[in-house]
Amino acid sequence: MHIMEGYLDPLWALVWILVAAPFIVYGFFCIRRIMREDPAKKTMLALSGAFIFVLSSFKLPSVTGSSSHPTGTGFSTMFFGVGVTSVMSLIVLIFQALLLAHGGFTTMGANVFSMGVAGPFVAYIVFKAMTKAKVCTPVKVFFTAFLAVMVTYTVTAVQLALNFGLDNGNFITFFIDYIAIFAVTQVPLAIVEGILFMIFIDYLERARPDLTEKVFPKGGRL
Amino acid sequence: MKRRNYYLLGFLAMAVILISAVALNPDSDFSGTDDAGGDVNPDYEPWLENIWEPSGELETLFFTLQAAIGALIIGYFLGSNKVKKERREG
Repeated sequence: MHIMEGYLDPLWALVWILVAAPFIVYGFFCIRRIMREDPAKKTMLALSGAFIFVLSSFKLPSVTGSSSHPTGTGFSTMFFGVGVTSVMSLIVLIFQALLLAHGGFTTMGANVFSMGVAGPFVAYIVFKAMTKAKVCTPVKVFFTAFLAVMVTYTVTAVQLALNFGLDNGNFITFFIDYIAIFAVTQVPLAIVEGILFMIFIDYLERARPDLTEKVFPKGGRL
Repeated sequence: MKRRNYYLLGFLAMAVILISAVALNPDSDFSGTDDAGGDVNPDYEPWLENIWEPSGELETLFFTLQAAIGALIIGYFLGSNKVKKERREG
């Protein structure tokens, strides 16, 4: 998902930074408010960041032969929404760009947008819709985590296709090329991430209902 | 079926997916889709390099460090829950 340093034209790099920036600022204020007004949520905030750290560090092989990593943003999305998730993603992406040469600073805006904004945004809307429809917790958790990963990679494909294909009319060709690599590689990993969060949320509901009851009201049905 | 068995089943499913992914691709070089930007469009000349690139071993170290930071927080949370539960019951 990380677009490498220097792989986006300066113009696109700037566009994505500008698009991602408002979400980061909004997320920063969200986190400050949570820290000040609701210290009980600090635990969940720490866990949200922890999952993104762990899961985005796992470079796993996939059926297509290339390897890739899950994003881990599903947990943060379900409990805090897009703003907080974008800040968490920014922290991880800075860590990886600085220490691992994985991703880069010119592509930071694009990477934050796909991982921390677009994926969580779509996943959050679907999560809320499923909550309204009283979908049971495990199904809800699975699809939220799954979508957060898949949408992130779809958006990365769009970003790369826009950069390489917009001025020469090859946008569609590039998009198909990228999505063919990303989609197939990501599906197994998105499923793994979905299962992991299903287990963890189920554990949380039992061990610490005080932390989950607001987001996962009791009495869901399939 | 007991709760614990569902969890085991979940972990088993995860293991099967990941192991089959490795088994089906013995030649995988772990280069990652993150580098696909260059594979699809080899003509593109990146206009900037990373300011600093770690050697292979350092890269592994930092990846591990990243995972360890996250795992530490999750582990702390799980442990503190267990202690709280024992106190309630004890």
